[in-house]
Amino acid sequence: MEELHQAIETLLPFVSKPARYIGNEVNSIHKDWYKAETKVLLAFPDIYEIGMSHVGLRIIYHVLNSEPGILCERVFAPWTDCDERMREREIPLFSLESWRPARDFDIVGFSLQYEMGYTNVLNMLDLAGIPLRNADRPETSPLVIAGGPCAFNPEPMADFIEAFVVGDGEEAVLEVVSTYRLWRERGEGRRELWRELAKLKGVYVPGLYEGRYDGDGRFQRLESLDSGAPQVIGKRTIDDLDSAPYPVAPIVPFVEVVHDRLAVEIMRGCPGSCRFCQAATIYSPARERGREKIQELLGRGLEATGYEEVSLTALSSTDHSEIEGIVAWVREEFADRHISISLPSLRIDSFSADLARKIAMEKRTGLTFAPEAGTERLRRAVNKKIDDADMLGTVESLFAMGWTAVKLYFMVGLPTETEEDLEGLIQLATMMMRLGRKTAGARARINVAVSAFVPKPHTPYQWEKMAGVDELNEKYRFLRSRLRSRQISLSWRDTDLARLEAAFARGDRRLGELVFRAWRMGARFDAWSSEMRMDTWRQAWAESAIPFEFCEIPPASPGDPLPWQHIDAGVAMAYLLNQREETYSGCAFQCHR
Amino acid sequence: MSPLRLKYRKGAEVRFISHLDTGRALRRALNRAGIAVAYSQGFSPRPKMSFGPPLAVGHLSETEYVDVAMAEPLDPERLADRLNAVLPAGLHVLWVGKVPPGSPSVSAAITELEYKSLVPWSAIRDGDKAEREFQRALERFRRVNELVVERERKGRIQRFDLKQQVPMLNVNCGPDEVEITSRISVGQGGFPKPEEVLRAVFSLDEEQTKGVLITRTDVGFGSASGRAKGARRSKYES
Repeated sequence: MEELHQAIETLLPFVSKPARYIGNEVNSIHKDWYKAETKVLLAFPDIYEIGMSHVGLRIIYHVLNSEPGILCERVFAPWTDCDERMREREIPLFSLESWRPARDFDIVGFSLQYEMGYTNVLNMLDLAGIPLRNADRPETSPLVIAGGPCAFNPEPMADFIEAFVVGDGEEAVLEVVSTYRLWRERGEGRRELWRELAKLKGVYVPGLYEGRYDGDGRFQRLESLDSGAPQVIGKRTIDDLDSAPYPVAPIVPFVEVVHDRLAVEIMRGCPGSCRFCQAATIYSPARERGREKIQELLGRGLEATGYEEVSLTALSSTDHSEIEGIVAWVREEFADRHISISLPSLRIDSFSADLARKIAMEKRTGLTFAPEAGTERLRRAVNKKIDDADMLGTVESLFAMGWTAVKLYFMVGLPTETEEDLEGLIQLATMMMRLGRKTAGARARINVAVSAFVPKPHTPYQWEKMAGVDELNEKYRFLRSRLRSRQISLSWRDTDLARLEAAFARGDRRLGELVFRAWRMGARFDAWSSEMRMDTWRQAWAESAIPFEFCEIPPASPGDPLPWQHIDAGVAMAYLLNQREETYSGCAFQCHR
Repeated sequence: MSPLRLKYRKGAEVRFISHLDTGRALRRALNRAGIAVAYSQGFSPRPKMSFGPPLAVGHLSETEYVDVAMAEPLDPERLADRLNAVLPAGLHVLWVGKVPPGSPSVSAAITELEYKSLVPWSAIRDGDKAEREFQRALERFRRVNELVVERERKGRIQRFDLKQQVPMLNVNCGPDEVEITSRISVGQGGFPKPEEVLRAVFSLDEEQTKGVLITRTDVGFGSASGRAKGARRSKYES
């Protein structure tokens, strides 16, 4: 212990941003190691600044530490320079709170927010000295679990994660811990623990199943190796957010994190039903936290943190039925404290514009919207219900109120997209820029951010083909050549990255081999364009037995087996098929909410 | 309303947080303590806080200063207690006093910085920097007329003449470590870092200086008017 402390102290002067690794932030929880029955380490496979911006991690930290018998600490992926130095000095992955080795914990729980963090999971396990594969872990090794949106197709990580919590984790994580504690008291083997965990609702234990493939290598089904392993794993859902636990005194980071403010989740799930959107289905149904509870969390949270900004988080904040009242309350209640409000996701309509005006009394720099598609036709096809006139009117009034920049998110490669839709995107951006010029003149900016559409499991588009690299790059060149104004900037998300993401989003458990090979060849921080090396992935892919086009070939027909079909996200297959049908038939207004 | 001047300590627990991080931590502590800070006017109002010369990441300090303008009158004595109750471990307010009207800001008032650098023998490879060499290096420094260090920052080269900006430098060799005390003057173009002094004068390399524990032990106020009323007299003032 003393020795590790000493080693970390002498390591830190040599790494960039050492404050990422020191812990001790205001409101961090330090429990007595020797009095805790079960010790859980929450691991986030990205840097501190990103992990600490994630509300889910903060909720689970709060839930676990609220239990007297449980100690819960945090760890984030060390940046590459720190990683190197740690290996040089043989310093194992350590927790922030007590600077103890990760391998000394009973349970290590990863938050899997995006597929491109998978190599970091392996790297963190390796730095911790925990065997990477489930099958290789001895009895003394921590139990490795995971949760987050990636658990809705857990297969690519099936070799490395012993149990996945599918859906809302607040209740399930406590059940996992108590199952672990009872198992340890009984002193049984690891496989017994797996069998016990598999009995919990919403918990998937991949080691109790095996994949079956046909002669061409296509996925056929998962076969259960154990009579206790369920055929279908239903997601966990918290019904009532008001009684659900939520941190009242969140940690205040020393370093400036991505979302450096008090985040209060006002709604979970989304009332919209855009057909490309995975969040819309996996977080369904849409549930509001009540105004009273939200105000209590804001009041207590500000008092406990001293933050100068609050964020009312939701997939679509303006859809909360009492959003206006809450915003007005914050303005009045904290009038003398200079509290600013941020709404992370706004619809593009007059209601949102009005709300934006109310929250931003002082700063009026930029607002972000997601039209997603360039024409009304395509937006209707994907069920994103906003028309051009409403959008243009909103943007015009925002510029008139003093805003100078608007950021627009678009997707390219959506089902049924034609050149006309790209033309529409160009026209929309150009018209908005002209509206901006009228009031903001040369200062007006339209920032267009384009990314490739990636088909995701549990959405109506889970059967769609992903557009090829050449096709996507050509569309990008087209947009680039046509958006020439200096007042319009165009950014493009890396095509290779999107394609890899697509492979992992819909892949089966054979992809674990690819993650492993890529990691061994040095892949880390693949979500960072500065770190991601497509060559490494290509080589890893060439050396594994999986054909490279694997990710691009969707199941031949909707009746074909899907690698994630054992995970039940709570949406009926008939609904998904019907929604897909409507995309192509054009009768888009029959969607249900 | 004239601002209050706070003197605080930055301990080992927070030695790796930056100057900006420290500012945010203090500002949020003021908020948690319910102390109303005055804000600037205009488009994006900011709390009126002004800090002394920046302390580098990794350094400890016995003597940091910040001026804070209050929105309402406040008893300086009580302010320290209220803040210390909510500050993170490692940050501790030592003293609060009033700044006389018309005095320069704390960043302008502080003109000298005293550092103590502990160089563990273990940080020096091959033990090639024996006691004698430290003394010789110091003597050499005392004899030269000029010793310029260069620093590149954002494509611009900054130069500091250590003979001009290091009025005091002493070495004291102990059994486990070498203790080097330096006094550095803050000039128009900033000030050399104690690490730069160690490298230039004692020929330590970049890696070796990272193993050195550096503490800002005192500061000197340039003129009596810059010193807050009631502040402990710095030993450089007469």
